[in-house]
Amino acid sequence: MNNVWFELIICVFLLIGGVFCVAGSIGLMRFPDIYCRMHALTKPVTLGAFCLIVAYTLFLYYAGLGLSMKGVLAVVFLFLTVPVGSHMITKSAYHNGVPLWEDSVIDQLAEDLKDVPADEHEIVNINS
Amino acid sequence: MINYLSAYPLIGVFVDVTTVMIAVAIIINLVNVARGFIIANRIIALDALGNQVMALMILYAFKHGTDHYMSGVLVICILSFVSLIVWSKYLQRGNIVYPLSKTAAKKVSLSQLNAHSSQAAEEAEEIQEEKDAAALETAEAEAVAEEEVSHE
Repeated sequence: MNNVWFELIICVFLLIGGVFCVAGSIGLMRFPDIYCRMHALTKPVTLGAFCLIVAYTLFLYYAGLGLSMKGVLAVVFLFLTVPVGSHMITKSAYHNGVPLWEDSVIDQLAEDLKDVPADEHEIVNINS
Repeated sequence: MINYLSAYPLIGVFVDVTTVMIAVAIIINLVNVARGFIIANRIIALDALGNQVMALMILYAFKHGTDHYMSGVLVICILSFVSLIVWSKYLQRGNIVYPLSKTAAKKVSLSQLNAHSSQAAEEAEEIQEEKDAAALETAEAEAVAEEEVSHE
């Protein structure tokens, strides 16, 4: 089958995936704060990988090689693990004392930590 | 080796273009890994580096037409996630294995003392008894001295 429209859809998904990966990397350079950089880096790159996997699945169907489910598995793993990991890194940076950007409006974690007794979230350093 | 993209030249051109774009993204990411002002910047950049390498592996799978490259994608995803968690633990505490809170640390130390040094506790009790007896004697001596002073 030589369907031009199907090929064009695959090409559009490929281009979108590539552009999102580049945009994520540029965002890492340009954003002012680590808390903004985490947003700018993980989300577009994950979406870019998702678009590429969709394009790959469509290409396998178009070339007559059968449907593949491993791409779906990779997408599920990506969507589960990337947000958890990035949020943990920024939380540890917050507890290390990295200051927020000057023009930040609200610090929600400080309001939540007021209710927790000081003994629970106190940092325990074995080496001290 | 069969190149599945030779039959579809349009898709081949776009795969090459996307490969160049992701290569540029990886170079920019490496610049940020080197430049990172805080440690957390570098860690996030390394995780994104793993994601972009996964994207490159998917593009490589276009050419060969097999499903085996998805296994490598899964492995890199899982390894980057586990390394992120271990890094966050290390950043917060300076160690990977640690007690949960200060009260837990104190409880562990007290139980160890009670289990391993019962003899020391007995000796400590004896010393305390002697001290109490000495304190009583001194108190009696002081009371007798006060009575003598009051009588006089």
